[in-house]
Amino acid sequence: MAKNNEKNTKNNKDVDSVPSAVQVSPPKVSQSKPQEESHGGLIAAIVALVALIIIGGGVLAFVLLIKAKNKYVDPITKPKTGAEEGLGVGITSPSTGEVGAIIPEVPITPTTPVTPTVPVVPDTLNPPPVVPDDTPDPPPADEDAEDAADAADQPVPVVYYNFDAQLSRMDTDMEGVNPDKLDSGEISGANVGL
Amino acid sequence: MKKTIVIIILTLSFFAFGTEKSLAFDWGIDMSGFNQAIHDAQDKMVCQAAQPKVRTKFLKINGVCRDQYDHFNNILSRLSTIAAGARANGYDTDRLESDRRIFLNKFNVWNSDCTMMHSFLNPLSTYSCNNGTAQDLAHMKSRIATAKGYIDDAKDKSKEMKSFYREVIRGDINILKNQQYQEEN
Repeated sequence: MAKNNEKNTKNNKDVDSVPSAVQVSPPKVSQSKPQEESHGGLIAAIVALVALIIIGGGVLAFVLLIKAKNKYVDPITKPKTGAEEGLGVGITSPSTGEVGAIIPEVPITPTTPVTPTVPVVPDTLNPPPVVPDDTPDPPPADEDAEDAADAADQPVPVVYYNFDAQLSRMDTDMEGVNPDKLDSGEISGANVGL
Repeated sequence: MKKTIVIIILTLSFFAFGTEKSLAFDWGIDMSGFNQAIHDAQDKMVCQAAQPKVRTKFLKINGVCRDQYDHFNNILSRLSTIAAGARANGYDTDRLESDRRIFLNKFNVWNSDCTMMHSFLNPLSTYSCNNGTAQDLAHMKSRIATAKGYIDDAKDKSKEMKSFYREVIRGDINILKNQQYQEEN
């Protein structure tokens, strides 16, 4: 018992030896601040990356959509080729009404020379007449009367050839030729140079 | 309008991801396949936009060639008729026959140019641009450039034939006409 009292007295001494005012150091708040800033930058970078991936994916999907759309050919609205319609070159298409425009598609070879297919007019002086009325005009009526009146006095030329009438027809033909209509021109907007 | 918008979007996408200064390059991402897809799509769009215009142009020029062919052919037939008639009346038609041969040679060259134009442009009038590659577009441009050369040649030859008729053929026919007039009087 005496030992216990002595022990308690000793403990009380130890308690009494503790200073009454304990100095506690303030929390170091400043150490955690830089760590929070680095996390925020990482999150922002990840968000930006995700946003860019979404935008890029959207553009890529759009391109693929366009490509897929262009590859699809509606069998109902697809225009028939000349071969499908059973037409040849120069035949009027009953569906489009175009003359000689529809031919079967053939693979294009740019460097392959193509021989002319239009027949060349033969070099003869007497080809078959193109225009039905291509005959010399008869002389004017007044000249006929004059010739008849003078028939008894002087010989009439064997054939009167009306050069003026032929020249007039040829002038008309040549007026129909407008070289400027053969203008290669430009295809606006397409930028392909024709 | 829709095609134009799509082409603009594709172009912007190319600058966003396709160039060496783009974001993808900075990130070290290989976008070469994507770039090629954008280029092909652009070429296909241009090809599809050009194709109907090429077709329209071809049909128009081909129609002009056919029309001029008929006129030149008529001139040749009438020259034959005049020469035969004048010869039957005893006139010297050597000059007129020589004129006809020269005119015929010019006509054959002109006709060849029109035929070549037809052979190069006609396949493009039904071209479908299905592959949509840069090769297709280059192919179309090449054909058009060749056809343009033939069209220009045909135009020059047509002008030449017209002036030859006015300056030479008409003069020689007028000589025969004056000769007939002097004999009548």
